[in-house]
Amino acid sequence: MGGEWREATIEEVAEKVAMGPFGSSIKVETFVSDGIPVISGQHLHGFKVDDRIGFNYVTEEHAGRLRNANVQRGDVIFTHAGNIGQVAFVPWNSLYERYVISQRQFYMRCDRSKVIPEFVVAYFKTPEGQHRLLANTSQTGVPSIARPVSYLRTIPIPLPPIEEQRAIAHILGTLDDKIELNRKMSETLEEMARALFKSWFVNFDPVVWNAVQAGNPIPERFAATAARYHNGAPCPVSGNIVNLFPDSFESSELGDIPKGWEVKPLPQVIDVNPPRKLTKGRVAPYLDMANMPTQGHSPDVVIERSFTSGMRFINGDTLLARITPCLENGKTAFVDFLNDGQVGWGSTEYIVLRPKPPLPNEFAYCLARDAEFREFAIQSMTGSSGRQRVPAKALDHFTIVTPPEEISRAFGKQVTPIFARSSAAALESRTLAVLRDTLLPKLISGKLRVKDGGKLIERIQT
Amino acid sequence: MARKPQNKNSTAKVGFEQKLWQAADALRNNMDAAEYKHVVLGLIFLKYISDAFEAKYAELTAQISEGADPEDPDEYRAASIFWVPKEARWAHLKANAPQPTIGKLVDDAMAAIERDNPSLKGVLPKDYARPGLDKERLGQLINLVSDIALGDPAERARDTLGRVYEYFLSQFASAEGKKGGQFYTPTHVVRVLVEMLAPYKGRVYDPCCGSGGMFVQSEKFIEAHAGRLGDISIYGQESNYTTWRLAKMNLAIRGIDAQIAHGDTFHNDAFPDLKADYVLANPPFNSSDWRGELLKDDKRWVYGVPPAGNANFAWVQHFLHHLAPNGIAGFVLANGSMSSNQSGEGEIRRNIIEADLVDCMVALPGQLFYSTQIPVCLWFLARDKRNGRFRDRRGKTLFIDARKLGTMVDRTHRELTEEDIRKIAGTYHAWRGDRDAGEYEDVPGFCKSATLDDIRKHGHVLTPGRYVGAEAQEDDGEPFEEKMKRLVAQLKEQQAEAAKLDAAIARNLEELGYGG
Repeated sequence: MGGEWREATIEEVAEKVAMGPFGSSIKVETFVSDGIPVISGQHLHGFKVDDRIGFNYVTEEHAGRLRNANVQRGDVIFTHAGNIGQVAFVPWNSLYERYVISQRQFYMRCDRSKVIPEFVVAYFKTPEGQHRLLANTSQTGVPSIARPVSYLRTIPIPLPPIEEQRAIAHILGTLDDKIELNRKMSETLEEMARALFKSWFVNFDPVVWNAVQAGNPIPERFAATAARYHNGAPCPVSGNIVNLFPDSFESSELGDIPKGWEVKPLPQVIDVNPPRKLTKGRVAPYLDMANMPTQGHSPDVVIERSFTSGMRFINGDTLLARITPCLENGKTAFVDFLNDGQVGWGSTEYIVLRPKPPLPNEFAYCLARDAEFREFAIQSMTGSSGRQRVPAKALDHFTIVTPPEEISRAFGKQVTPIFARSSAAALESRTLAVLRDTLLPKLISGKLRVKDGGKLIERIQT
Repeated sequence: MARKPQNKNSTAKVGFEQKLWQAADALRNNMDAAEYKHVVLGLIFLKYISDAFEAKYAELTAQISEGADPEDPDEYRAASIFWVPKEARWAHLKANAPQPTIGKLVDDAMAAIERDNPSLKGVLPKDYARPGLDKERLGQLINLVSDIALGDPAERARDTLGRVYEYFLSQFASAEGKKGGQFYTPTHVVRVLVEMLAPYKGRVYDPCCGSGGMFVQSEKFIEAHAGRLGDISIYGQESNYTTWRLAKMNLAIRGIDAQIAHGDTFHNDAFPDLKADYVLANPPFNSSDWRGELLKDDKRWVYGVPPAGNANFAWVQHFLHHLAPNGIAGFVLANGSMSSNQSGEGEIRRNIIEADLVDCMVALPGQLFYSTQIPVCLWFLARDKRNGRFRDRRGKTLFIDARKLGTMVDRTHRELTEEDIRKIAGTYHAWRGDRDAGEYEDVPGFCKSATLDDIRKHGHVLTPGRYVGAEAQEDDGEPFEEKMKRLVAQLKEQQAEAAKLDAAIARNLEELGYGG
């Protein structure tokens, strides 16, 4: 590899290479609530510095004193100790204009007449780039790159003409952008489903609307919503659906509930840990606790592993981590990553929830993400060994205001395609990632060339 | 992130105690904290009784003309002050502190005091002469202790020494880490128990009393509420001999008259006929080596034979056995005790609940102890919930979930603040109807007055979290219609963007020769 392009050392193409601050000059005590954000290892897991994860901040004066550790858009940041091999650049549309890197990082600023950061990052993500970056690793204690700055300067990288670099960056970038967009779209979709859940089954908005129209009494709890409807707020849901809801409330052990709905213990409407068959030793998709999502319903990584013991699940099941601190952190998933009929498995510390028809499968997931339910689960934790957990039995004491069948069906009709679209996006992202990782080394080395480079460049420029 | 200020009960003396601790700890050199503890605490105790003696001595000397004899031991016994023979007086030791023979002199002093004061028999440490103890450092330590409360009036000086003793106990517990939990329960945990039980008068009993912290706090409680110390009588038992000695000294230094027995509470109950008005205890958590199999037929197991592998419910039933008809017990147990169903524990708990003995349950936050990170709970059992002092609470149990209270004082330890303690105790007092305690009300997420039926519904599990319910949840405040409008607009934008990206990717791939 590298035969297609000429090579140049980082020394030749960098404007600057510099170390992060000493650990002693950027301690927890120096953090403030707002100011210059500090980039840490968790922000470096992709191609670009990830702004979605929260930052620690230092004051502007303090950042000023750490002169060499200040980075800007386009700077390429590496880790030299700990999780070595990480490399990402500060994207052109980053949230902040200025960052400070932390003590286990160093960075290079590209001479952009020679090399663009997208290309540098892409190169160091290839197997060959990783190999070169880590060839000088010391494995005593914390894995670290010895004398990272002077070493990096000596590393040769392939150096296609700048237009070619842009073309390569564009091809890889569109794939990356689509993966990122898929994630955002899934977030939007899930937020919609949960908003619907809350409106129908927690706040009973359609019932309040009907009661207002019918002039029926409104319980105190819903007075604010009713006032909005009086003041011209639109009907929360279209005509034929709102007609499925009653127009008054009645009292129950859970307070005021829509007339005709029933208060039922959770196990009457949702199966808890339903039996799923998987033979010992059989290789099946395995979702471990580390990969349980704390936000969103879809895990990033599911591996294959032969079954020993743990909770089993099928598509449509909702998984809830029941042990501290995973429960408090919100580790919850909706299983949509298996094939039909396939049984997956995971930690013994999951509770598997599966609504009974006519409630749609997604109902359990929306419930498991609902604040009130989570609070109940957290309150029900027991155990003395420091590993507190929710016994599945505790859910017997959670009661659900259960809607009549036609509303359950209407809810399913709404949310099922939302979740399906979201899982299609996740699936597509996986394909895109494989495509990107396949193309990456070929493009970087020049083994795969754009047929008509000129045309592509022209297109990017417009 | 600014560090939280240490909110110790900030009296002016704290700085002084801390400084003293640092100085003493510097002299520890490479000795184990567990060993050094006895060296230091023994000296502080010696200084205390010597100071008390000297004060009385000066008083008597002033009255020689009236016929007083400062060298008459009976004068001191009459005033509940230990008689200190000449060779044991602090001035004598201080004068000889630089000598290499100082270890022997301290041992002699301890022996002489024990000889003349039978109540201290076997209590004082007497191995200062051992070769492992550096005599130069011992001399320096004696000088350090000499300076404590120097120049304070006699009363204050004694109080200061008592506080230093207590402070050092807590510091040693922290230094010893895991083992420290055996002799020391953090003050703020003890204070919750004491404030809730409010032991004004009667018999107070702690059958696993460690260094006697429950009694010291009870005494402080009585003092703080202008009660009379003489109104309570104190009974304690401790199985660890060295810990028992710490307790004896700890109480003597406070001037608390107590009966503290040494021995195994289960196998050698020192007060078999005692019926206490208050039981206050922090038994070892989940102890598995209590030789329970030898006690299968014990008369204390009214509610079921506790499993040999866990002493929790042996302790609970021991407490109940010693409770007077109107008595209340408050004690610390590991959380498992509230929900375990192993080896018959569920059965015992059910019987205790059905006998309507459970008055109140409190779940505490984790990380309160030096010895362990595990979260614990407080049990309050009342022999008779109808008793005349408070309202009739038969068939009712108060559940308090205090897991959200407390403040981290360092990376691994949490403390309950004065305000937390008041909140917990105040809730209990209001519920059981103490005078001037105010009106009780259920607070979702914090406290709930439950009926026996509620507890049955929960399978006789006593975890407060199950009963107090969920805290009221804050809404995000965005009305549904507006949220949906926003989300739909967002989705449309994303879909348009997706279409553009899909087209760009398709064209790129085509240009790579993979148009498909």
